[in-house]
Formats: sequence, structure tokens, C-alpha cells
Amino acid sequence: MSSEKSANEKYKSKNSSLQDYKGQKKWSSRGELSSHSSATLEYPSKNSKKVGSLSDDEDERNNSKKKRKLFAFSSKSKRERNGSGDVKKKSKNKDEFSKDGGQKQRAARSNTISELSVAQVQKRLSREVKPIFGVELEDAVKQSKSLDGIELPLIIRECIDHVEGFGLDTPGIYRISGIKSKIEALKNSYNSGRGVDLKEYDVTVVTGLLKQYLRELPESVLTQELNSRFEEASAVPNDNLRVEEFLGVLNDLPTCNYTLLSWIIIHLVHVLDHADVNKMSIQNLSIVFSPTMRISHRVFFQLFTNWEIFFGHVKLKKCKKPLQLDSSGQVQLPDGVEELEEELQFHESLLNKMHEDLNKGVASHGTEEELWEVQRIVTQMKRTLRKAKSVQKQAAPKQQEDDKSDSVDQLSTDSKMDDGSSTGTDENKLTEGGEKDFKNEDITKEEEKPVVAADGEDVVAPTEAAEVKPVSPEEVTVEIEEEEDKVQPTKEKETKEEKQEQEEEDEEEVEEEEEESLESLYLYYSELTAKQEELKNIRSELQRRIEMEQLRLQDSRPR
Amino acid sequence: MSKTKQQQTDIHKVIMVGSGGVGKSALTLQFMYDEFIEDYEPTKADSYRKKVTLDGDEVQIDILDTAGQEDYAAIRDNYFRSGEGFLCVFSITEQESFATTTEFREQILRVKHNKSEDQIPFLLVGNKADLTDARQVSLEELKRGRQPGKSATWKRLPRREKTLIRVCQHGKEIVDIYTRCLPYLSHHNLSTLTGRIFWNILSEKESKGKLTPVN
Repeated sequence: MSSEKSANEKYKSKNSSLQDYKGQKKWSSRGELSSHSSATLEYPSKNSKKVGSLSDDEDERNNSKKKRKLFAFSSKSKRERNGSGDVKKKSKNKDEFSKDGGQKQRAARSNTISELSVAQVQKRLSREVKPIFGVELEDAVKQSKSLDGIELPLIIRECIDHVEGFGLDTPGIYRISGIKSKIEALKNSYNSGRGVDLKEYDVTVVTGLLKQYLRELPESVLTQELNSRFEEASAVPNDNLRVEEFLGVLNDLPTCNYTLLSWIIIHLVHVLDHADVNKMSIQNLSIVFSPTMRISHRVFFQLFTNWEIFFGHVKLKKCKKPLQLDSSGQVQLPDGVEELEEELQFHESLLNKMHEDLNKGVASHGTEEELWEVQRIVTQMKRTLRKAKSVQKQAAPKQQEDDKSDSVDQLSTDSKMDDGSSTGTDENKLTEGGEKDFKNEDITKEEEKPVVAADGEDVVAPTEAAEVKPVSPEEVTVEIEEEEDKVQPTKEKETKEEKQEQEEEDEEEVEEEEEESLESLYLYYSELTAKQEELKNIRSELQRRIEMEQLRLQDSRPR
Repeated sequence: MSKTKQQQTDIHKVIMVGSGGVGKSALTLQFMYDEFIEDYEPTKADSYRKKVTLDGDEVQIDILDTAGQEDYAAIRDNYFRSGEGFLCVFSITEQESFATTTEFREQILRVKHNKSEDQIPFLLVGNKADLTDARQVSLEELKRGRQPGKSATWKRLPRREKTLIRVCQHGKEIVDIYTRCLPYLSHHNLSTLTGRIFWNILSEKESKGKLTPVN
């Protein structure tokens, strides 16, 4: 017993790394769920909040530590069993462990199930939708996330996107007011958290909506306390000093206020760029926006004239739209790991938002169906990313080796000689090696992949067929036991076969090993080139999809 | 939107449930890509689609791979409502995971309260059947149909219909990562389309030419 105990201890310490990992995972998920803002986790600017929620979660983590240990243990022990042949000893330990731990675990789990569902029902009943108009900017940002990390309410993003896309050349833009009832309707939609498609509306309605939102902010963007400092700064006669003063005050603005101000100013600068068409000069814009944003003309003028110094580093980003599925239910992903990660982050935020909405009971009809699709896109991205990363990992050491030895190139050329039939597909853009090598890689890939990739069936099937066994490979895989009496003999048969299969594969592996060491080198290259080709296709397909999607959206707008 | 969907092939939504670490993702990935995963990475949720032909008809199967941990129960619930059939996986090397299948069943019934127990295809899968040395859930226990719980579906099974399929697929590269599973499914489940999809997901795919991947 004592030896077993110490063994358990050992496992625990071994588990610690796994546990940490699980803890993190869990933590992040908790954070997402509880704060309803997965996105906050990734923004450096919200770091302070992150720390706060971390300490909360710490408690929770401690509470459920036992439970997680059990999970961690079971998973680890399974892994170890796979890894080594030492099965019996471990399973004994496991018996011991799950006997005293299992009941608690079970009880804990059933508790959480019922608690969660109760909480959800309550949530659904309360239908907690908060408006975004007329509330503090910070709350509005929380309430209506942009999902891509920019701390602005979605309404600002969508209005700016719309005007930048369709309205910059509209004469009298922001001056001419839109139809009031439509603006009101849009406001209600945003307030109730319903999705809105601004494309259906006139630019004047959209600009009116944006102004209405800014007007209804409880406080000026410049904030009550800093407003006087802005005024003072704008009164400084010396140009350089004035700019410096401004930078100082701007720096003191809360993050979301600063973001809003910078986006609005930059957007208005874009409007100004089209002033010869839309007739909106600085004066005109200032007349419109000064009362709306409660910023004096003088301050406004300073912000406009020095915008490059104040906000030059800020770039307006288009509000992301979820990727669309094509008719076969496939989605075309961007190539390039960074773009992919960006998309992944966005879609995960979207997914979280959908889950939140569902749990709150405010989700629009059809969200449950969409959930599957968005989830599938996320899954696909994760897979692609994982693959891309593993290819990168493999490629890195390989390329170093490649620099050292030319013999590899030599060998690959040889293999090209042997194989007269193949014609490489040259889709190679990699820079490291030169084109000739890559052609070779393609060829070697073609002839060797079936073996090296060790697609189980390819390798094993021939040998199995050769064995004098009463059962053919297909029959091995599906056995239907109709009568209980048959169970025992079949079981025996099964284990025999198992052993045999293992032996066969062992032999196979020894034979392969030598080939593999060389071939695996080639394989890395061929994988890389294949990946590139894939990404190329994906990119072109994506472009096509975007075009189609835009057409579709335009068609489907008018209701 | 809905029109185009109807023109397309039928989509059947299948959800994998079960405790953490029993091999839901491994099974799913095997079905989807004939792929073995070696590293243990807890799933939050993953969704896949595969186009297959079933008895000559082209259908699409959406598989949702869920998290085993209760931390994700809220997310799971959102999917349960739109899921058609449920594949409940346990590990034969872990008694606890077998016992939990009852809870999953109950949770599903709670979420889909508008349907009776018989109307929800639910399939129990015993995974890791090759790890005989570590077996904790005996065949007899399974065959007696005592678990999961007092489920009518299991009880109603006529003895002769109580069928065991054994599935095994060759491990990729590493010999000792076989995944074999013992699905236990009722006659009733088999008579439904989703039931047949289950059957085919788990049995050797091409052996009867029933469920073959498109493309």
C-alpha cells in the first residue's frame, strides 16, 4: 500500500505540468464564460481587469482542484499505458485511486450539472439585455463588442465602415439628417442586441445614427474632468507647446475614450479628403460635430490640424465579418499563419458571443444552427494552424541540415534518376533551397509517401493477407457477435490477432526504419511544398468566395 | 437561405458526449480523417462535416465533438438542443466514465424535454477495448444492459437483438495506439437513419459499401 501511495505521489508530480496546462485552459474558458468577454483576455490594455478575474478564478480553481486532479490522473495514466508496456502495475494504482476518489468526483459532477442548468434557466428568464445608447462608453463597449479586439462599440465600427465604404462622396455628409423613424428603428435594434445590416439603409440614416449615439453619450468623449485641460491646451499660443500639451491630455484619456476620439477624427479626416465632392470642410464638420461630441470648435480645430501627430499610429480597421461557407459546406481559410490566427481569434470571439446570447436567451432565431457552422470553421482553422505549425517545426531543423550537407541533394537527384515516370508539379516558392531541389522533393514524395506516411492499412494489409488466418482483414475489423456464448472464443481470437498484428507491424517498422531516416528528410520538403500549394489554392478560392459573397449580400439585402 | 439548404443533401447532426479523456476526439478524427491523435489535448468543442453516401443517398453528417469536463456544460447544452443523435463514449478502462454515461443521458433528456426517450437516438460506445489488462467495465456488465441506468431503450432489447460490433482500425505508425470500440446500440436506434449512420460510423466503413466518403 505504501509503495502504491508513493507511486501515486509520483504521478501527481508528473501530472503537474499537465495540470497546469489544464488549469490554464479551464481558466481561460471560465474567464470567457463568466465575464462574457473572451476578447478581453487577449487585449493588453485590459490587463488590469485580467488580474482581477484571475484571483477570482484562483478560488474556483482551488475548490475544484481535487476534481481536476482526478481528471488529470486518469488521462495521464492512459497516456502512460500507451507509452510503455508496463500496464498491470499502473492499472492497479488506478483501481486504488478511483475507488476512493471516484465517488467524490461523481458527486461533484452531478452537482455541477444541476447547478449549471438552474443558473441557465434563471439567465434565460431574466433576459438581461442592456441598451448601448445613453450608457457610459465603457459599458457600451462591454455590451456590444467588436470581437476583433478594438475597444469600440459595434455600432461605431459599423457606421464608420458603412460611411467609409459608401458615403465619403455624398454631398453634405453628416450635415444632412436622415429619416428619423429609420434612425430610431436602428437604435432600437442596437439597443436590443439584434444584428443590424446597415447596407439596407441610406448613408444619411447611418450618419444620423452615429451622431445620435455620440449625442446620447452621458459624457463628452473628452470627459468632464479633462475638458478644461483640453481648452487650456488649445489656448497655448506656441505651436510646439500646444501640441505637447495636447499629447499630455490625450494620454490621460481613458482607453476607450481615446480610441473613440481617434477613430472619429481619423474618419472625419477621410471625409475631409473628399471635401471637394462632399463639400464638408473643417468648419462644416466642426459645426456639426462640435455640439454632438461636446467639443469646442477651437479644440476640434486643433485635433483636425494635428491629427497625424495625435492619432497617426491609429489605423481604421474594417469590422470583420464571419467567413462564409460555400455550397458544399466548406470554408476557404486565409493563408499565412498570422491571418489565420487573427481569423481564429475573431471566430472564437464570435462563437463565445453566440453562446452568451444563447445562454442569455437573446439569441436570434437560427443561432443554434449557426453555432455548428461557426464551430466548424473554428475547428478547421485550428486544424490548419496546427498542421502549419508542425510543418514549420519539422522544416526548421531540416533546413539547417540542408545547409551543412550537399549529399542530401545528391541523393534526391539519384532518386530522380531511378524514377523515370514522375513529373513534379512545381508550385514551389520556398527560397531556401532553389527550384531544382524542390522538383526532386515532389517526385520523392510521390513515390515514397505511401510507405513513409505509414497509412496503417497500406502497410499492414499485404502482410496480413499473407498470414494464414481464418479471418480476412475486413472480417477482423467487424465482428458481430450475436450469441453470448460466442463471446469467450471470439475474445481469445481477438487477442491472438492483436499479438500477430503487433508483431507484423514491428517487423515492418524495422525494415522501414533505415529507409525512413533518409526519406523523412525528403518528406519534410514535400510536405512543405504540398502545404504551399494548398495555401495557394485556398487563397484564390477565398478571393472568389469573397466576391461571390459580396454579390450574394447585395442581392439579399432588400427585404 | 433555407431554400438552398433544402436543395442540398440532408444534414444529420451527431454529438459525441462522454467524460474527459475517453477518446471522443480520437474516434471523431478517425471517422473524419482516418487520423490518430497521440497527444492529449482537452477539447472545448469541435465541429466537423462529412459527406457520405448511405444506402445510395448522399447525406451530410455534422459531428460535434464536445468537452468531457463539466466546465463546458453550458456550451454543450446549446448544442444538445440542435443535436439529432448522441454518441456516448466511455472507456472500458474507467468504471467512472461508464457510470457517467447515465448522467449524460439524463442531461440530454433534460435538454430535449420535448422528445421522449425513444425518440432520441443514443448510442453507447465502449472505447479502448484493446486495453484488456486495464479493463474495468466487464462485458457481462454491459451485456446485462444494467447500465446506463434504467433506460427503457436498453431494457426493451430482445436478447437476440443485443448485438455487439467490434470495431478496430489499424494504428497509424505506432503500434500500441489502437482504438477499438464496442458500441452498444438498441434495435430501435438501428431502425432510424441516425442509428444507421451511427452503425456505419463505428463499423468498418467500407465493408458493406453502405457509408462511403464522397470525394
